[in-house]
Amino acid sequence: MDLSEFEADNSRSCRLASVVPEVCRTEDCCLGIDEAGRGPVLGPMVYGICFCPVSMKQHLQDLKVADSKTLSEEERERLFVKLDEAKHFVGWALQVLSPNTISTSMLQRVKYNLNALSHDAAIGLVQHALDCGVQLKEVFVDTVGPAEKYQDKLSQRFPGVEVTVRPKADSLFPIVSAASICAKVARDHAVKDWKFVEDLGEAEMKYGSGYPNDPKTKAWLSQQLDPVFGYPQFVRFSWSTAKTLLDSKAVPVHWDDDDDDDEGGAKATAAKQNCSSVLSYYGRKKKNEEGAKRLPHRYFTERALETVRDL
Amino acid sequence: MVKTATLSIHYNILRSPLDGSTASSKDHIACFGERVSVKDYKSHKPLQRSSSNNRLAPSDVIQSVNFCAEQPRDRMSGSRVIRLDLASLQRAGRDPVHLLPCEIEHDGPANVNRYFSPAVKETKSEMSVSFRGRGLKGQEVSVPQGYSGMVLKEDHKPISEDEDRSLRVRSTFSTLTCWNLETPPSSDDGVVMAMNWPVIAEAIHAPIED
Repeated sequence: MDLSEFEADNSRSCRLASVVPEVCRTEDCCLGIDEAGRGPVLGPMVYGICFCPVSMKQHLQDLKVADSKTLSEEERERLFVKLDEAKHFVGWALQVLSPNTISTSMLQRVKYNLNALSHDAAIGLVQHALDCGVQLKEVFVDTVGPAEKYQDKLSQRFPGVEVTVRPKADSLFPIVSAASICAKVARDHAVKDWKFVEDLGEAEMKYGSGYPNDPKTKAWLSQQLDPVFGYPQFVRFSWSTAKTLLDSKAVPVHWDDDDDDDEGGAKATAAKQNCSSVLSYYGRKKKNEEGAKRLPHRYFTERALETVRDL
Repeated sequence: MVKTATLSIHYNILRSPLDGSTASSKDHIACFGERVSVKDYKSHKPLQRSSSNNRLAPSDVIQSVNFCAEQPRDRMSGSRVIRLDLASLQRAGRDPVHLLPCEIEHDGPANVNRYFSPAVKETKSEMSVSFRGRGLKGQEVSVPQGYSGMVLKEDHKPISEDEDRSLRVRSTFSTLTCWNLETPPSSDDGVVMAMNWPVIAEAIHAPIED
């Protein structure tokens, strides 16, 4: 599997796709969606689709694309090779969501949570298939959030397509299993071949499974922690494990959209924003101090300019 | 002949309420102009100068610049002097300067060249990078015409409030990168607008030729 397009810039998200088999443009097709790498705190999350003509479902089953969770990494690799060899009737596409994309999306001012990110990745991939001329009639996908809502959302988005959202879809439908294999193989490669833009030297490789409850992963995070910058871009900053460690061991950083600080609440926020807290209008009025300073013109406050009399 | 002069300099320090230090201890980012009044250190009498407009001439060898209150009477009442060693200006290099849209509770060294600089991505329209997992969008902003950006360092912090202070020039810059939190950069950004102030100040405060 060629991930070079993703590797060229692993701070962004990337779409990779196979060539669309001719039969998929002429015959009714079924399509499966699955993901890999949703839980880990390290590396990308990959969404994958796999599609083939409905009439050839049995051929797909013959490839023995079983429930991918039970397979080892080597077995998955072998199965992907088989899928690749079946390119005359099987097509696939992937959306690789970089850990940096996951972090920045989930930590945005206007929050973009993981489920929404997942839904949009899946929708984007199905649309890609349609845009490539696939005659899509059936879609099978595992649950992400409430099953019925997801099914309705996808059905509305893709009229004319029968959408089936079912938990454990990858063990029920071979086409989902195939998608799962594609996604997992992509994730395995992306993680194994990860190039740290931060050039960390020797320490890079020993991070265990990448799951937040893995002690090896936690130890690696702790070891990698930089007090100012936090972590390399391999890490999902939005994960609570990552955040908690930063809160205890890294220097505090404040953004203008932070929730109120522990100290002060409304007054502190108002002071930071350079305006009066409404609370100052209550309570006893102070006498005007002698030689009270004139407030600067708002031209200066807007531009954060102040005359400095001392350094 | 080397003069030690007390220069009263008008300066504005551009300090956004949300700036973040990404360089070493006690560095301050300052822009200051060349309009000065040159007075003798002890007597506070203006020095005789050939040019009448009180600008530093290339032939002036000024060893140090003392920042102090503009009024001589304040100086005599004991407020301290901040001395800037100008010789360090010659030795100073040019380091990139980044202004971040957050407050970092840290004053000290930071691995900017490991975690930040290599991660900056540039397209034709904008620059982007992440800091602590948050997406930033940046633009290069130039220091106003006729001004220099300097990063100053105080090597030894004074113990008492009356003690004089001593600074040196660590590096200079003529442009800095201003980063917004997620918002694409524009000419309405505070720092960009602030750079226009010297033009307006000149128009308001420059002496009028008769």
